[in-house]
Amino acid sequence: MKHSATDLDPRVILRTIESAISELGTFSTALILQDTVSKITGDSEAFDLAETLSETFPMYGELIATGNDPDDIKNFIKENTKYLAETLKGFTSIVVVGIEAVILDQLARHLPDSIIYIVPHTGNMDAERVLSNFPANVRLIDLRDLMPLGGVRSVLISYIFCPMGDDSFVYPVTFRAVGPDIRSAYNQIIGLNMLSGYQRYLSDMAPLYSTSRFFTTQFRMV
Amino acid sequence: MTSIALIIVMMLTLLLQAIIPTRKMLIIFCGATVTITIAAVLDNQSIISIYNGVPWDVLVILLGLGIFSTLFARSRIFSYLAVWCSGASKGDSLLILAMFSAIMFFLSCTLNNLTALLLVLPVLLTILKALGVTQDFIGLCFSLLIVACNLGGAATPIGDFPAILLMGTGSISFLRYLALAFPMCLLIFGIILSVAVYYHKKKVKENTSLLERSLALTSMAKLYRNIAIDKTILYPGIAVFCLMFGLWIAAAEIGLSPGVICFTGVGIYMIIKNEAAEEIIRHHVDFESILFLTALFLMVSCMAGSGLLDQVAALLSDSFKDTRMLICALMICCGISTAIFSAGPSMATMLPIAKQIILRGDVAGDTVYVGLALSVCAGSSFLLTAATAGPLAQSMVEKSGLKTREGSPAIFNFMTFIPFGIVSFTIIQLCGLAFVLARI
Repeated sequence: MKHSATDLDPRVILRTIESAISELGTFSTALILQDTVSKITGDSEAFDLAETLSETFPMYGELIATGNDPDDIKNFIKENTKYLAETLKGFTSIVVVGIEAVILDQLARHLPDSIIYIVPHTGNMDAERVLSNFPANVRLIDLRDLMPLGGVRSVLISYIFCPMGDDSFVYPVTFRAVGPDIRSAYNQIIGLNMLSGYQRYLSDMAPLYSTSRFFTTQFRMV
Repeated sequence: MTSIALIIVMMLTLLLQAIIPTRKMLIIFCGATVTITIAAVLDNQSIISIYNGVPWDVLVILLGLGIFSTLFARSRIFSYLAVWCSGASKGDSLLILAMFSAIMFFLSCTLNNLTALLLVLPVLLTILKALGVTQDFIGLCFSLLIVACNLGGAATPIGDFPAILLMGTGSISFLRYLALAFPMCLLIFGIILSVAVYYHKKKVKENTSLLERSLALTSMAKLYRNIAIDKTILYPGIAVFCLMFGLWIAAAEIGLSPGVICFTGVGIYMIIKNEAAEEIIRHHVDFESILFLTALFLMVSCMAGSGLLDQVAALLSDSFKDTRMLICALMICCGISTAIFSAGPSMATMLPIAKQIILRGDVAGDTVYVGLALSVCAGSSFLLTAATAGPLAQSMVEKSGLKTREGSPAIFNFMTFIPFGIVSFTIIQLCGLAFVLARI
């Protein structure tokens, strides 16, 4: 049975990528969706699908709006992750809030001597499966473990989606992680800028106004 | 008088543990204590003779294979296989049904059913979640998986408790059991799979689009993108298993019991992977089922010591003059009692009776033993609660949050399983009876 991408019920598409959003991250899943839809139905349908998914999965539309090919985006991330890894070489503990597999897969390989602690952005996931995809220097932790991990040789990293001016969107868990108590425990809090500007309200994320107050450094990924 | 008291206590214990599974350990231990007291006080049986009636070799094999399965599973070979099957199925529900049930059958031949389910079900649930299947398919797929588990377990002498009991008590040799049971179980699995495929084509309406399937498969591939087999666990595991397999085949010639061979092999494996083995023994060994079976064997030992089982065998022989009828009656009793009381109690009680009937010399022992194993398999496949794999699969489906294509929560419970259970029981039991009748 063959359907056009835009004929499909958005809930059906969301169902097929639900586990991926939880375990790979929203941006990484949007990238997979773009790649798959483009290959099967062509670029124009991949573009049209953005409107179909504007309410259920708005990140996809934001990604499509960049006008970039999935392979180009992967290449940007590859290059930028290399620079990010150089920046992080002095830290022994790297705490990442939220999973974006497209970045973390490479980061963990670039930094084999550092321990990377990940706070998942959702509890609805198979932790064992998530860990089995990463090298041995990656650990999954809980929000409560963030404070004790702080220190001069620790850095906290999270994702800033679609920043525009000083406004942006973050994973709801990031909002908690960059609170004043945890901020005081870390020397550096790095925000990884994913995409820039937004046309759709990312309803599945937490809006963050005055982003620069929460992150000491911002690093452009895509 | 003693015999009647022992029967009442045994029946009451088995019934209560089936009705209140949350207290089954307490019930079985109380039953064993009362049985031993009755046998010692009223029947003058010595405690030593009661202990001697327990087939310790069987418990050793169960424990050893449990450790082996858990350790070997850490190689991730089975998850790798399940992920490969998801990709190879191309998201086609019929292929998923056939491939995953075949995996369950072959895994259960060597691993215990619970380990096999725990390894394969997470992968299957993920692909089904992404594909969005109908309630009809969910019922069919998980029911077939459980029956495949039961058949795989019955196919080899190390797959499940009844077969381990037969090998551990020396009732039948490893090779003889394998030669008789494996082709039979494979044939029955083929028949049941064909029925399931026919049902799927007639009743199950799946209309997944190409894009949905592609998205589901791509998501799966990314979720398991870096899954790697741990060869340091896999290779020693295969080597040790081949060693045990060879020794089991030659057990009679070299004079080693199956339990000693199992412990030797598992011991070598544990030395090679000592850190993981230590962790498994401390935290993951299923001591509960070993203790349950020990209590059960103590009860059966008391009954055997009182001569009760001989009396039951004599009664059956008197009631059925024709040997064929006698064996058929025994097998049907075994199948039904397994459905009610589960495989352990049923096989532990029926085996001594079968041995008494075989001693009369009218029928070959190996035929009856394999027939009994098939009947236990039929009974285990009758009700969802009859085998441990059933409730585990039910709970895994519930916890996974799997939804149907229509968006309602997927249901897999006692009632969903019943129609498939009745068909499976009938097919396995009839094939078992045909096997025995053809060989007498």
